Amino acid sequence: MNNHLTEDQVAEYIVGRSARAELQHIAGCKQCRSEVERFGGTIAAFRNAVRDRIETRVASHPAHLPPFPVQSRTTAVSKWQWALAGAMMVIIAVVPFITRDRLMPQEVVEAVPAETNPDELMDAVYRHLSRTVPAPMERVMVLIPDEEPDTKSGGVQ
Amino acid sequence: MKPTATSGFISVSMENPALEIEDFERVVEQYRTRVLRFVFASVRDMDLAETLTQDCFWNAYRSRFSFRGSCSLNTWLMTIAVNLVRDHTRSRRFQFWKKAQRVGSEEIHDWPDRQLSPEQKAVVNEEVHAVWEATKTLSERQRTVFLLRFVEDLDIPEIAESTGLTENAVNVHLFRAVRGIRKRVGRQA
Repeated sequence: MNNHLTEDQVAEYIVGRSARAELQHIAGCKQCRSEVERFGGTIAAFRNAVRDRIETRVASHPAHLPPFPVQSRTTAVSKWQWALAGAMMVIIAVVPFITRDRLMPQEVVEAVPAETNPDELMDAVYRHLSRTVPAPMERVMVLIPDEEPDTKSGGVQ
Repeated sequence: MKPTATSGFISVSMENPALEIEDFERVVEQYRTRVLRFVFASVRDMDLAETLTQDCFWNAYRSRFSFRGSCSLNTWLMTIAVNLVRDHTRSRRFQFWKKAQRVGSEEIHDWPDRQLSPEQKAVVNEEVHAVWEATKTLSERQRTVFLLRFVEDLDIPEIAESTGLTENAVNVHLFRAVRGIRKRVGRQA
């Protein structure tokens, strides 16, 4: 009967997830101990080979990055704050003009005379009620000449 | 004067919770080797690895103020490198040149261990090249996790942080990667 470690158990040992029973087996079995040490040594040699490759490269090829501008966090943030403040100023300056144009009616409302005398007020009411044309039409009616009483329509002198 | 702490070469501000990387050229100086090592082992092309490493540091520089210090600077840079490698290896251009065997075909140096006899050195080099070839056959995630663990010596939580995987997922990918490599390398009796 073969009680030695399986491939999965060797992998678990390398990863560091072996159960206690497996660890005990490795401690007591020379063959399995030799196997995991050998595989672990291979991975360590791989790591050293990669490291050696890169260290050689870095030593012969220094970094070619352009210099990084030194800039503190406070400066960077204050720039954003300045930009935000500027935008707010523009909004505050422009919004009243836009809203005024939108809210104000195009027609200027005629000023209603403040008539305090009840008689004058009643006269104004009567005048308004006795209009022959609606108030907005009165301006147009001014442009139409009055009818001449002397002329007779269709008449021949 | 702002209170600062020194982590290796890197001076970071302790006044603000967001660590401030003040001298980025020193960041590059200290971490270039690690980033280049991981990227090269991932894409297996030195020129491409240099380009991606440069991109990694430029991305890090541009987003340096978003670095909150919740992980180490090394883990943060590795996160950027992992994303760059993933995006690049998934690109159509890389897939095309990979099929054409124009990228990913570089070899690693033999391990110059002077203590070994020539015979032992030959055996070790053969095994190292077998692992190098085996990593090429791994899935992208398995290879990334394997390299971060066994070449970059990151621990499981750091790998989880860098890759965006859970620790359980990292363990699973790592186990499968080692098992795959073991299968490829085989028992060297």
